Amino acid sequence: MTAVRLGAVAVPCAHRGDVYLPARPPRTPRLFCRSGETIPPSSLARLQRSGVTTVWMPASQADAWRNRLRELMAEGLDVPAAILLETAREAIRDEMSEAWRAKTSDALVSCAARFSQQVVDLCAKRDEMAEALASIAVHDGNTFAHSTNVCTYVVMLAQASGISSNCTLLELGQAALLHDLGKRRVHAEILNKPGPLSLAERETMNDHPRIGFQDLCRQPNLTREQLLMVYQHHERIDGGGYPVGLSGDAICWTAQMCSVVDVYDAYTAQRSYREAIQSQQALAIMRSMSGTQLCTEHVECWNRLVSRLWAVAV
Amino acid sequence: MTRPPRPRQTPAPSDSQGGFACEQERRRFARRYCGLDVSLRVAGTLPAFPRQAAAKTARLADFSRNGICLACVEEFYPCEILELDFPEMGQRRLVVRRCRRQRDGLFHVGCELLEA
Repeated sequence: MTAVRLGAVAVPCAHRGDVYLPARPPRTPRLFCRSGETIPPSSLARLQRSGVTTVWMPASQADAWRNRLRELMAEGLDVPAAILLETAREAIRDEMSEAWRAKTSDALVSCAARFSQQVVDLCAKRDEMAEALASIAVHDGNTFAHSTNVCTYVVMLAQASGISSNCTLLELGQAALLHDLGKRRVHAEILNKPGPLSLAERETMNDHPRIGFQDLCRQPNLTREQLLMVYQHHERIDGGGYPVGLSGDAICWTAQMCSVVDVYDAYTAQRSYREAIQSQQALAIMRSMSGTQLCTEHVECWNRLVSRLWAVAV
Repeated sequence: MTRPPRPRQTPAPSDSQGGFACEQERRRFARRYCGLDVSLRVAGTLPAFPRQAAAKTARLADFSRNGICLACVEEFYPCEILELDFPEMGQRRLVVRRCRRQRDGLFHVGCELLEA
């Protein structure tokens, strides 16, 4: 069985497999809808209201379904932006997982470019995407979900900051999807450790921007700004970051942008070592970091963007 | 073949700014601290980070059998290849592994010696 996003299951697709509802062990997942049957919108809404975000599908059926989703995405789907984004995520999930495990980063770079293109296309429908912001974040505790969130957020922040060049937005999105690439070399026990990290574990963890950079630096299609986003996204403007300890303008603007949304997603996601916090609380913490650790302009811009949407959502 | 044990840390000079000496020891062989001025040249750049091949000076902060630490005014990126002129020992090639800015503004660049 493979976990799939509920939002993507809602997309009409003849190749969709059997959908099972999750259940706590020792119970087994319960069949919710057979393949080929249409899921009534009311049933879907009920599940969403009860907090279900992930459902299960037999692995063999999920592969064929994701392939078809990729084709549908290429043909153009007429569904709301948030569902479209979930579908785009679902369509690349297995491809990204495979690329993530590969020794070289070639497949990951091209996969990131395709996803970034879809995010930029979605963000071109600015209002619709902005309204969907509250519902686009996926938090399932893994690096893939975090990376896709950061990718989407970076493109939205860049647009809100006045960047309109399609090429620049694509590059930003692609680099953001790759920003935590170095974590694939960090042991899962350290990544998912529930308690505080030891000094040695902390050093291993803090090495992920350098490792990600090392894996990507020979890629001929990546720009300096993209590579610096990967390498410097944990640098802080007061010089207290890592891996180099750069300060102020010595940190590339792409990395400064990435660090703002990276911090936001880290706070609003549930981690193995702490609970998720509300969007407004995360923004308050980020405001206190503004000017010392995070770039003031980017924090203000992100604050305006999220606060406006939060107000709309309330 | 078994890996040799990690070395005991050789005490760093008192004027050390921290840097690699404070962190977990990554070198397989013991460090020897010194303060030798050396001349270096970038022998291999990265596609996105072109550099001029002009000679630069740096201070050799420490060395071991498989790595050295340089103190220089310029930041270097992991995977860049440097060529170092050692007095009496001739030229050696190094690959940059990590770089950390120190409180005095200098960068400590950790390099691995490449086989001659």
